[in-house]
Amino acid sequence: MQDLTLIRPGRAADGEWSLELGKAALKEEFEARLAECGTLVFRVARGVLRNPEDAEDVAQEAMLRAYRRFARLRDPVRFRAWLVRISFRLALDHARSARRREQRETVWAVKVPRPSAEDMAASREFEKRLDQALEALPKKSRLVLLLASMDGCSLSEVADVLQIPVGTVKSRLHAARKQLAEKLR
Amino acid sequence: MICDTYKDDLLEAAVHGQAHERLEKHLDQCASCRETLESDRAVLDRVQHLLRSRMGEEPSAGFLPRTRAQIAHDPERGWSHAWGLAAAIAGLLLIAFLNFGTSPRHSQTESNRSAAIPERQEPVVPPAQNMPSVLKASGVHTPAHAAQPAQFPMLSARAPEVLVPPDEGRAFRRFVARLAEQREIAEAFVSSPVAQTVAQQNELPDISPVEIADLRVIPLAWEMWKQPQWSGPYVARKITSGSEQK
Repeated sequence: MQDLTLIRPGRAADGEWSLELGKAALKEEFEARLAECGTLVFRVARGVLRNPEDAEDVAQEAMLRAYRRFARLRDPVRFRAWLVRISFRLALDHARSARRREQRETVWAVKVPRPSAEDMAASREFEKRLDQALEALPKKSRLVLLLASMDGCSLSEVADVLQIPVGTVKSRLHAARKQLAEKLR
Repeated sequence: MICDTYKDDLLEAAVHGQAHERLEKHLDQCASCRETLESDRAVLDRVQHLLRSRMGEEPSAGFLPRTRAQIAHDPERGWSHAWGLAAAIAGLLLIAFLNFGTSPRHSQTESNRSAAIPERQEPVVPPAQNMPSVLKASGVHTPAHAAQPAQFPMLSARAPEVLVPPDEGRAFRRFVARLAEQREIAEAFVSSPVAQTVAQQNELPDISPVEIADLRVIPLAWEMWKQPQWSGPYVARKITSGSEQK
């Protein structure tokens, strides 16, 4: 014979209801963070990826992951640092898989499209070389370089976002610039 | 002619923004190194310009609304299909149990629990003999919540007790919590059309006793049901081996 359990759903509902209210408050708080950090997250992804549409997809995924872990990431400083890192990591993954896809398509394509005149333009060429040089940078230095390239973002703010000392930001930035200059000479 | 004497120092000077004293002196004399330094600086300026423009881009206007929509429909945080099914089952249970106990015209005190529990066509017997001990002890199907108004939130003040299979308890609680969130649906559930509208005996729906697991849900006699201590027309009894427990 089946066992039955005696419950008070109404009282439990009170508990669940306050849980729901807590969730609503959490969601509201997250909404505020989304508005505050959305652009930063997008820019970090955009710094890695070549087109803004991909960067938006990555930023969206990063925000979704942040939302799932938001209960543990409510401290604003920790939240922003985590979000920047996850966005950067997701963008790197995205770029890697896009590159693999590109290579596969190049191998199997019957006709490889000729580069357009625009692609041949010097600026495009330089941008391409820059992307390659950026990819060769150590990840930590690359992230520092990207954040430091944002308008109005001082080194101490970069240090604050990444939760690392300013001295470390300076040395990583210096190393990244040197390596880029060397590659792009 | 390419000068290699200060090759690394030139790069350092370009990145750092200034050359050390010895290099400064060398640059005064070496056109090739001056050119290299200028070139390195130009490269770095260009890099900086490109990165600045890239890092200064704004996301499209649809970015935040799309992200919000995606978060709102996140399956890892929302209701899964399984939960929906569980809620539907729990909903049936809720209708069954709450409808019996939410009649606004009856009230119940603790002393009323000792009242008789006769079935239809059965003589009235004292509760000590009639009510199953397990149910009496836990108050199952005693209308402890009957004094509450039919409108929500009746659940929060004096919560009714409900027997459910253990694995459905959580789904049931979530369902009730969901009702708490959506008042209009809750009101539709908790207002018993039978209890509110039946005034005559011949209007009482003809319902046969139903067995659910080891419980037998039995229609009460009309005259007993109309008594204030009973909020609904049914009573549950536990079935023991061979016969109902009295």
